[in-house]
Amino acid sequence: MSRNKRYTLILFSLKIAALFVILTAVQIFVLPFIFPFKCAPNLFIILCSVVSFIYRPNAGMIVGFLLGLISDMLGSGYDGTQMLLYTLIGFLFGKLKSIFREDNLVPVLFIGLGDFIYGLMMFCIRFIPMGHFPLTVMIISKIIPETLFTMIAALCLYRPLKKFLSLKEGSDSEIAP
Amino acid sequence: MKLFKRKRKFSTILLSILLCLCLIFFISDAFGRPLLAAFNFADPVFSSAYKGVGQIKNIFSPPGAYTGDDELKSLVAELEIKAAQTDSLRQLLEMKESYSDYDMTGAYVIGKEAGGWYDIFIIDKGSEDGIKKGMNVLSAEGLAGIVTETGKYTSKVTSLIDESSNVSCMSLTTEDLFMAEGESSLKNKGKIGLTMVTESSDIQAGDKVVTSYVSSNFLPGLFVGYISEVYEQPSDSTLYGEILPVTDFEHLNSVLVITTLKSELLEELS
Repeated sequence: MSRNKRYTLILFSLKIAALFVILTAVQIFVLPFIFPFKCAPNLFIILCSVVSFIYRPNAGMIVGFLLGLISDMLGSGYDGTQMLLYTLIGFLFGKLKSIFREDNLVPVLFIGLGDFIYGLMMFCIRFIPMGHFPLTVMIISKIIPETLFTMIAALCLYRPLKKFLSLKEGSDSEIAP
Repeated sequence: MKLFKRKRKFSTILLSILLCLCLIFFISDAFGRPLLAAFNFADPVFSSAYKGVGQIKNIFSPPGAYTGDDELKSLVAELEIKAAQTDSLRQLLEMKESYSDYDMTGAYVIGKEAGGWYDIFIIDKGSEDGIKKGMNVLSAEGLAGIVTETGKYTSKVTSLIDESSNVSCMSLTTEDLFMAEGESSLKNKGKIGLTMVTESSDIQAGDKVVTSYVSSNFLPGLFVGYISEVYEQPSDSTLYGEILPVTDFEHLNSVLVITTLKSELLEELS
């Protein structure tokens, strides 16, 4: 590994770690008190998506896995489920990056779509084992508002996060061997 | 081309490894979360963070109107909690079954479950303070939930309005038994569902609801709330309804944990 690449990797890790701590703290300790009716924007999906968009699938998967680990640790569902969801989001968004050009709105739409699918998957994980299927209620009261909040947050955060995480101005990087 | 293939191969291997790890965590869930228990060392950090945020929140919405110095402020806050506990006990004494013999401990609500998929709140007492899974939790007004998970310094309490909540209850007026279940459609109204009532039952709106003797997890006689509506489902012969819990789940600051477990009570009785 060249010196330059090692430096890049360390810088990347530090930036990700800083964002990881800040966004996790905000998501877990602050947002539940601010947003009523349990519909807070999902900052984890935004972080996971931004990392995937910039650094392609490998970094996205790892960050997604770690975010899922934190969510499972502090959450109350089945262990491994959120890890799986965030890992897949990291992987798929990393792959999707190659099909769209640099645009501020398209990634936000993808983040919204990702959050909506995440919501549907969480619904399945949460309610299917119980034998309840209040899909309409949950879509209206939880999944759609949360998706909208996430998209608004993504609209505000996407550009600053991308700027912060970009290693070289105007170019995409990839953390892979 | 070769490099591209190599990178693609690495992605696939990494994805496979992470998916296998997810599967291992999922399987370990059935065996009491031994893998996530390895992260218990982080519990004090999360506990402190929750408390810190709670204190910041209290600055913006102090528990009382008193604006004296810090020591007196904390004394006032403590007395307010004690007053709430006293109120709670007074209300509970009014119930048919006296459970003043139960040992109780006070706790602060320091957080809510992130994600919002579960109606779970976090209290500042854990296994170190003798909190165990299955202990009933009361607010100043009545039943608030049940401890479903304990960490070293914090515990998770599943509230009464959560969809997984299922409490065997009875009407104090008619002594009819029924189930109080959390329902998504009623949650936003702050209510819980009332099911499994026979058509011959005389329950009416306004009846006082307490936990029943047959409940496997809840101690008998804990005040749940009032029946707000009763209606008949045309498809079957049972009555359905809605219960308005007395606990205000949106503004829950302090609770009482009954340290007597239902299983212990049953053992004592037998």
